Amino acid sequence: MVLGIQIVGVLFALAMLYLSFVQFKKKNFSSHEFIFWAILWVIIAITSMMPESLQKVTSALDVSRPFDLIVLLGFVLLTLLTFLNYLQNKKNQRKVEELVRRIALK
Amino acid sequence: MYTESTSTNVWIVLAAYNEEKQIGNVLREVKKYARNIVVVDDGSSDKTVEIASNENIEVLKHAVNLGKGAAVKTGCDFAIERGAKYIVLMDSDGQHNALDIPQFLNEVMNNDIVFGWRKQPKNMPVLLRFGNWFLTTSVAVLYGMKLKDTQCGYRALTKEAYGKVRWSSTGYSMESEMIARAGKHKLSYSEVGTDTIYLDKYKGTGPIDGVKIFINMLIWRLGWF
Repeated sequence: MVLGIQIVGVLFALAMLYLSFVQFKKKNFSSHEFIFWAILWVIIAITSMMPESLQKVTSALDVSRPFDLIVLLGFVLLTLLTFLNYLQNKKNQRKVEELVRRIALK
Repeated sequence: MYTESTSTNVWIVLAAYNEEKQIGNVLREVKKYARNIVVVDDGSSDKTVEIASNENIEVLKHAVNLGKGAAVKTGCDFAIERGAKYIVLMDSDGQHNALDIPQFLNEVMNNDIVFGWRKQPKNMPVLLRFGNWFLTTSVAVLYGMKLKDTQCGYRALTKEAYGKVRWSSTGYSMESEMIARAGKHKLSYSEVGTDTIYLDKYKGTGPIDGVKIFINMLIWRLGWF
C-alpha cells in the first residue's frame, strides 16, 4: 500500500525536477548542474516510492530506518548548501564593494 | 604643532548617507579649519550629493549603499592618493564639532592615531551606557587599549597608521576593527574629548551592532583577519 507521505515525496520530487528543467531552459543552470539536480530529484522520487531500496545502505550505516537516513542526508545536504551559499554571498559582496569603490574613485 | 603650512597635508574625510539636512552646515563649519575635504556619499537617495557639491569640495559617490566602513575607506584611499599625511574622520550628521579639528591634528602630529571620546550626557539611555561600557571593557581586556569610547567616529590618523589599520568591515564594525588593528600593530595613540551634538535621529551602533562588534573583536583577537 502506498502511504500519503510517499505520494507527497514523489510529487515534491517531480515539482523540483520540473523547476530544475525550467532553470536549465532559462540558461540559469548549465547541463552539468541540471544533471546533478535531476539525479537528486529522481533518487528522492524512487526512495519515496520504494523506501526498502535503501535497506542495504541503512544497515551498512547502522541507521534504523530508511526514513531516518533520508532525514539525515537532508540535513547534510542543507548544511552543505548553506555553507556554499554563504561563501558565494561573501564573494559577491566583496565584488560589489570593489566595483562600487572603484567607480567612486575614478 | 598644527599650523596653516601643515594644512596642505591634512584631509578631512566624511561619509554621508541621506544627510541633506545637515551636510551643508557641517561642511561650512569644517571648511573653517581645513582646505582639503572629501565627502563620500554612500548611495543616498536624497540631495546630499547636490548640497555637498555646492560647497566646492571633493565629492565621491557610491552607486549603492555599502555601509560606513566602505565609504570611509573610499575617502581615505582618495585622500592618500592626493598626498594626505594626516587624515581626520568625522561624521556628517553634525554630531561632531568642527572646533575640535585643530586639537585632533595637534595630537596626531605626536601619535599614530587619535580617538575621539564623547562626553556622555547624564541623561544617556541605560542600554547605550551599558553598551559603551561593555565594548570599552572588551577592548581593554582583548587589546590592552584603555579607551574611553570605542565607538566614536571622530578620529585622526597618519598616513602610515592608515596603512596598518585599513579595515575590511563595511559597516559600523570599522571603528572596532580599527582599534583591533591599532592594538595588533602597537600604534601609539591618544584621546580627545568632544561635545557630541545630537541634531537628528540616532543612526549609530544599536544593540545588535554591539553584539556583532563584540563577536568580531573576539575573531580579530584570535588573528582571523
